[in-house]
Amino acid sequence: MSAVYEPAPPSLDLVAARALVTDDAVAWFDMSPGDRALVSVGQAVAAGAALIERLRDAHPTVPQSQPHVDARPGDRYVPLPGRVPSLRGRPDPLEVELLHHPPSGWRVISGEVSDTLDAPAAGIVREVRSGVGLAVALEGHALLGRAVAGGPSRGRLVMAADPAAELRPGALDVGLAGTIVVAGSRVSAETLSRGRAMGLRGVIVASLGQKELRDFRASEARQRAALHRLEPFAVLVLDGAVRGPIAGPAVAIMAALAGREVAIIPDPPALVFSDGEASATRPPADQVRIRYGVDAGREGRFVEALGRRRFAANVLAEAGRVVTADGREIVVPMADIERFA
Amino acid sequence: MGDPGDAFVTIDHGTATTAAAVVVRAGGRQRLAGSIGLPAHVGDEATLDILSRRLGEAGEADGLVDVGAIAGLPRLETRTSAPPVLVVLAASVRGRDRLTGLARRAGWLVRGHDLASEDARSAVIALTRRDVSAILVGADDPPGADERGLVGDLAAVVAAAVARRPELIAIHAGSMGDLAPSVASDGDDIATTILAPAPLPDDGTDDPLVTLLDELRAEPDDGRRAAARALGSLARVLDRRILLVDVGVSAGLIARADPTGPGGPAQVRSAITAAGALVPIDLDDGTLEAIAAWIPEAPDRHRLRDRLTGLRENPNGGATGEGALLRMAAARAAVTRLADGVTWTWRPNGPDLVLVAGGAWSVAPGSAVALALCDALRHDGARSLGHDAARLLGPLGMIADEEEREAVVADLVDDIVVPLGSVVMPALAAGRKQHGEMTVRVGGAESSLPLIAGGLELFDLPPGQAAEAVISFSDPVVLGTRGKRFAIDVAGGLGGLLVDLRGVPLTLPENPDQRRLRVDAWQRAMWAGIDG
Repeated sequence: MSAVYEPAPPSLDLVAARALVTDDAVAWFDMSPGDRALVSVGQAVAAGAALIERLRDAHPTVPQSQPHVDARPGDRYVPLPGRVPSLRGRPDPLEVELLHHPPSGWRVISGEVSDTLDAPAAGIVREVRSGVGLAVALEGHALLGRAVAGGPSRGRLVMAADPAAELRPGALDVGLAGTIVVAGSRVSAETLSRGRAMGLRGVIVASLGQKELRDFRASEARQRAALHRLEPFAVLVLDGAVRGPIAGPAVAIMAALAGREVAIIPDPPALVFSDGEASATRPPADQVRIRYGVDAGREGRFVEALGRRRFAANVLAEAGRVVTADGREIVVPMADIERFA
Repeated sequence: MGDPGDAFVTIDHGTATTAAAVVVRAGGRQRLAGSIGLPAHVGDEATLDILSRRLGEAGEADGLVDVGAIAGLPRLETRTSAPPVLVVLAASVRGRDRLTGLARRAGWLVRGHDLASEDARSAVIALTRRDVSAILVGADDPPGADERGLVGDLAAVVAAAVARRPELIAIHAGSMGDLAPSVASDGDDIATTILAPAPLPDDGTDDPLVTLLDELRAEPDDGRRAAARALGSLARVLDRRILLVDVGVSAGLIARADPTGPGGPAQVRSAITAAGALVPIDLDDGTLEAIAAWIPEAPDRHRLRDRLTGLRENPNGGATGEGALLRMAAARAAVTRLADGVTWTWRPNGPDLVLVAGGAWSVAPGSAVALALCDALRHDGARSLGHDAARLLGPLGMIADEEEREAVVADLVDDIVVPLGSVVMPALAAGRKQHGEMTVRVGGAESSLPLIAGGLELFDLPPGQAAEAVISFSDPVVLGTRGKRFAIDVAGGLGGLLVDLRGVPLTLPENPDQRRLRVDAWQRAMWAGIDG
């Protein structure tokens, strides 16, 4: 037996790698019973093309006639047999979706108010599930975030705030209508409300508090319940709930995209763009960002893993040495830093 | 596992961290050579690589195992992952709440719906969301008065859901089983339809429906189920009643093993719940307040919610300084939720040993973990406290042969149970200013200290040290039984011997400043270097 064993220290592997950009994002768009897919599998869609007709006031009703015995939930059905539609290839507006078949007979989904969900980016339809959703393999690239509220949406990207600052409501005006705004470290619920009112298409922020998220979702739900037509608006949260500046590599990509058309998609939560040069903007392999502690938000170069060290509150943790952008050499818990893959 | 005489490796893949350990044979028995816990993203091989290097550097395994060959040793592996989503659909609110409670005890992340309070379209939407893995639809057998008119609708809604998402598992409980064939004829492409018994009327802990749901949820290498199996072996080896609380990022486990006598298997009960996670996904106001109660600082509730959400999103980060205190506060609340979620935590008698496991405990010193257990588990009695710091129980539970498993557990018992100390927790008579005295006899030496109601007394008793504590009070107290004088065998540990006279249950001051001062004082007494 021997104690001599010296493989290469897997030091950088100990730093969590965060996926920054993917080139093969498949976007998922939720549908509910009553919604109608306006595309089919294999179909190429352009940005702005109608994907889904959504019923805003959908409710189950008893149809005027019962469908054929072979009918299944999710099938489309025209409850007025013998009627001759003159729609020149478009879906029959009186066509409804079969919801379910209780003992008392079939129920269908009815509704009079609808709007369309447009493709936020170009791609090819991969899957369509009646009443559940559809998937589109997107062209271009996707800068990955952690969560999206609202959306999807599309607009011109504007760098409106310092990556470490908080965008104030007063900084938004109608001149930003139709844009997706990079808002810095955090936004308030008031800023989001004003942004929607000013016609913004979206906000990109490093972090969003749970209260702001809850307020925003409640506002969305109220507006949907009122059956107003809602312009697309999305909030892309890059990091999560804990306050901090936008990561440098993400800033670099978005700065390269300023003035271009981009899109926010909710699933996966991401900023979609087609600019190949921006996508190629990647940080060096040893660039890391500190996410917690007194140096949270700083970025630097990972030097080495140091093994277990004692930190504040007498906590033993795997440690690493980092040289920050301002030249300081600091020792941090390895779990407090991240790199970008 | 191969020959139990061989060295082997255990790997417990958690949601946030991976724990690896090397077990070797030395002096005719197996023992732990070393262990490590690293973030899950590091991967098995890199984790074993680092463990091998550290063992080599420390000389811990000299002559016992070739550290260069550790990666090639036989492995016992377990895995815990985020609970899958199950949607309950019932005819009535009563049925929904009952099925939801049972499904939660089986480890699922559960969303409850009923046709009494929502329409069929809403129910179909809930059943067909992309993150849903299974549907539990149920009604009493025969259907209750509040269900009878809706069972046909229930079946139709489930058929509508599986027609849209054929990969769903549809579990039909109770009288809904009679309607399952008609469901299948409506949706020919149902992948899995399972007939299940109706819930037992007494909502008992051994409900066959819970067992079935647990079987459907867990993979064969599920770490928490395996840990419960190994706990039975440990209870037999130690001949003690053991309570295990495992707090993880995605779920928690509470298990209790009671020896049943010579030669008999231990009785093991367990519950795995998503609500037992360090920070549950349903972070409601009550959960938030329960955590806030144990934080010495004065957190703004919105900021605290954000910090806890951040902890759930990145459980490995920010674990030092204030982050360590936040974790321990969340762990206390999780233990309370786990203990309150089952009926058998303290029945028929309190456990002799409370064992903790899971990544939540790794940030704090042993003494602080001991205090957290005292804070969260309030019941009169005397018990030892231990920590499965190397996370061995789960992997050892993968040894299928009970005798072999018990033999390995017997060898490794001192490595499985890292002693945190002992706690003596009497229930004092309400409204009396009691006082008393404790005399601790260690070998031939004897020392005494006064006891005052409301206090938390600490006696330094190091790991491996056994002692007799004689405790006397001015008035009768309840300590397993009612009396004024008790002689108790206690064992030392990283937290020593704690005599907890703070009351059962523990009532924290209503005034937030007073509460914070008190929590801070308790923690400072038990957490060396808390300000470091």
